[in-house]
Formats: sequence, structure tokens, C-alpha cells
Amino acid sequence: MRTPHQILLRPRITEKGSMMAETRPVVVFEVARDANKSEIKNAVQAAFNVEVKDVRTMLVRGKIKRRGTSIGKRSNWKKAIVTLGEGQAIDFFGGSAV
Amino acid sequence: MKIAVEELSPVQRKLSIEIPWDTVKEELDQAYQGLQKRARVKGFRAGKVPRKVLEQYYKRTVESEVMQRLIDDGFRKAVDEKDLFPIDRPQVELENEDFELKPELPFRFDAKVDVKPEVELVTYTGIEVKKLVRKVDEAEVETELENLREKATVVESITGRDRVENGDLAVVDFFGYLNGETFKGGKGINYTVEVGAGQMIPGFEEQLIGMKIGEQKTFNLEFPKDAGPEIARGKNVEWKVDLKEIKQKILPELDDEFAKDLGDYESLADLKKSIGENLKTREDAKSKRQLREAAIEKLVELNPVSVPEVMVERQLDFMLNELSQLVKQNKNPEMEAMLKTLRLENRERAEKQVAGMLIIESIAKKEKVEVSDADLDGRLQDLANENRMNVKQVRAQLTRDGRLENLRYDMKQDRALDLVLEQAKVVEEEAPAGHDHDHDHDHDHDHDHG
Repeated sequence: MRTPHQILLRPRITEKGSMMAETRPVVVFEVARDANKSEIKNAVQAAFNVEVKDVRTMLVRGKIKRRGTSIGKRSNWKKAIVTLGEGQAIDFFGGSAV
Repeated sequence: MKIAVEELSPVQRKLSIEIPWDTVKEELDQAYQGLQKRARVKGFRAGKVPRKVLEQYYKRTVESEVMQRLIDDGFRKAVDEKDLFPIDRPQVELENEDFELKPELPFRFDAKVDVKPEVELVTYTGIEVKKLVRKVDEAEVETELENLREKATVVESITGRDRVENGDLAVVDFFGYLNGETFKGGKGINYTVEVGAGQMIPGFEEQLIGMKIGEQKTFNLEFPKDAGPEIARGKNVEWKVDLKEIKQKILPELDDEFAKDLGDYESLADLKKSIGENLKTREDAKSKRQLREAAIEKLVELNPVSVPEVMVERQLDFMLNELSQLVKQNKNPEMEAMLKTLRLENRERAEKQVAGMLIIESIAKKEKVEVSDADLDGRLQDLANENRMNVKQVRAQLTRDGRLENLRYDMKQDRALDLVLEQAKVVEEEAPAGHDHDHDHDHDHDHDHG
């Protein structure tokens, strides 16, 4: 079994994400490409000690970026929108008191 | 805002200040709003970062900034409200030491600060002050006159004799040889020797007596051990001297003519009168200064004041300003030690000066001594005349140095002291005669006030 950190790569703290978070307790993660919803659910619950109600995932296609004549492509990645139990939250900054 | 003042000592207060959560919240909101405009966070467009995210990133910084502001404002307001005159920055102690603003709770802190003490004026009217007066006597005028005469001395060539006599000015070329060699400092061309004045090495001037114009003379003389050029000290030197000319000093006769030459004087008597007047003005100014000092001293004696440490230190800084600068520039341990001793030695004086300043300040307050803008303008005009500038320039310069208010303060202090002197019993007393005791105990003000 993979550890939570192998599944959850990094949180995505963005405008879109925080707008969504205003109506329901959701957190957005960048996750491993091959992780499935239940793996993500378990990982989040284990890593942050919260209750996960729902996980939605999607594949994000990397943007094609060009600079002059050279063309590059950002990697594709998997996004997971995790809905937490009512009133729960994840604090990525390690406690408000610090 | 709740403020409590506790008197720790006459010169120290503890302010306990409580700022309600509403005010704290307002400040916080404002700080975050400001930050929102500036902050750039990855994943957000500039200016679109929500407060929540900002709080997660910047809580500590924002809160400590807000706390600082709350403390500064709160302290200022408290000082204003309680009519205190802090003379130093406060020492602040927070209620909770974790540097965090607790939501919904008022923000409390204590500030310890040195304040200008309230001076309880015991008495300042009808104080007895000694005024040292010294009459200018005839002898002093004579000395002064003699000095003038000395200054007006004319040097003239002597005709009628060609041999040097004692008291003449002999113009000579001289060469000194040390073991047959010339040396630095052993030569003079067209050098005027006042024979008998003892300015040359011993024996030299005596050798000149009796020499004839145009005559050359060679003689040996030993340099004294403690004078002259380094290499020649204590050594025997052969001197060749060429006498070129004899001159003499002619002192002008003390007569009406002499007086007229010096300026607008009708006669010698006139000149004497003027000298006497000048000396008298000088003496008057001196006794006036002395009287003011004596008055201040008396006031300090009669009105006990507790002097805040900070003010004494500052006064010492002010007194030893130049020296401290010097010490700072070249770090010389000897000078640092000297400065330390000087500080110790001058401590008492500084304390008295501060005390005097405080007392006079409170007298000024009690007697409602005010210096109006017109008064200040008048003083500026005087200063302008003294320095040959126009009033605008003087004002501009003082404003630039930030000394305009100090000037007003000085004037106010002066007037308050004048008031004291008007009501004082001045006892005139003959000053100890003899040499000038022009001590520099001028009452220097520390210009940090208000």
C-alpha cells in the first residue's frame, strides 16, 4: 500500500478552490496519476485526521506552452476535489497558533 | 479604551491600557485590506487573495504589526489623556506573551515610562540671592590702556648710533654650524631679535650687544638641553651672525593725540571713560549671569525635585557632546575612560541643571509665562541683526535645524527666571577681587522637552 504522501502530491490553494470552499468544506489536491477515489479518501483521512464525504477526480491536461519557436508541454496531472464532513477543515499551515 | 495609571516613583509611571476588541478588529480589518491589495500569492490573481488565505499565510506578521500600532496609538492617547510628559520610550509588557491577538478579547498591555516629574513649587518668590558685583577700578583701566598702547607700538630704524644696545631690535642673518654642518632650525635671514627679551637661546642676545651695523661675528654657544631642534640639543654650536640693521620699538605717548588715533575719542580722558564703561558693561554682564546662576541654584535648593535618570543622562550627553563625538570617531580606550570619568564628575552638575530647568518650567506654567509669535519674531530680528542676515534666513535656518521651538522655550525659561528675579531679594556683595573668575557654568538647557 502506498503512503498518503505518495498519493496526495500537494494541495492546490487557488482562487477557484477557495471560492468553492466558501459554500462547502472542500479541499483541492494534486494527486498521483493512477490513484483512485477510494485511495484518495483513505489517504486524506489518514493524513489529516478528518472525515471525507466525497471525492471527485479529473485529469487535467498540461498546457502547451511556447517560447519563440520552441514548443513545450506541461505534464498532465490528476486533480482531486475532496469534500470533507460538515464543519471540518484542513490547515495546511500547521496550526493557527504558530 | 481603559487606562489606569500607577505611580511607581515620582518620575516613573505604569500605564495599564486596555483596548476593546472592536478597535482591535477594526485595525486588523484595515491591515488585511491593505495587505490584500499588495499581496501576491501563487494560485491567485493579484489583489484577489481571500482574507482566509492571507490569514493562513501572514497571520503573525499582520498581528504583530497591528499590535505595534495599537501599542503606539494607545500609549500616545493615554499620555494625552492623562497629561503626562514622557521623556523616553515606554517599556511595554504584553498581557499574553505569545504575541497573538485573541479574537473577541480586549488587547491589554502595560507601559512603563519615565515622565517629567510634577514639580511642587515650595517657594520661588522673595528668595534671597547673592549678586556679586565688582567695581571697575582705575588700575584696570590703566592696564587696558597700556595694552592698547602696546598694540599701537611702531617699529622704527635707529639713526644716530650704530651699535646694538640692550632693548633694541636687531635685524640679523644667522647661521649655526653643528660640527661644521648646517642643521634645520639653525638659520635665520633678516631675523628680528629683541635683545634682552630672552627669546633666543641663552647667551645669544648678549653676544649681539655692542655689535656694529654691517659687522660679522662668530661665537660658540651651547644649546640648552630642553629646547631647540632635536639634533642640536645640549650640543655646542658655532654661530655666524651678520648684523644688518638696528631698530627700536616706539611706544606712543599717552596723550589726546593717541586717543584720537584710536577712533572717535576727543581726548585721553574721553578714551579712559570709554574703557571704563566697556569694562563696566563686561562686569555687569558677568554679575548678571552669576546672579541668574545663583538664583537657579537657590531654586534648586528650595524646591526639591526628583530628577529622572534619563534626563540627567541626556544632559550629560549634551554637555559632553563634542567629546563624545570625538570618542566615537576614533575609538581610543584612554579617551573613553576619560569620558566616563567626566560623566561621573559632571553628574551632580547635570542633575542640578535638569532640576533647575524643571523648576523654572513649572514656574513658567504657574505664572502663565507665554512667548507669543510676535515676541519670537522680535528675538529673530535681534539674531538676524547680530549675524547680518535677514529675518527670513534666520527663521528658515532655525526651522531646518528644528530649533525654533527651542528658542521659544529658552525665551520662556528666561522670562520665568526674570520673574523670579523681580520678586527676589537681591543682596549685592563685593566680588572677590583679582583675576577673572569667568567660570563656564552657563546654564545649558537640555532641549528635549514636550
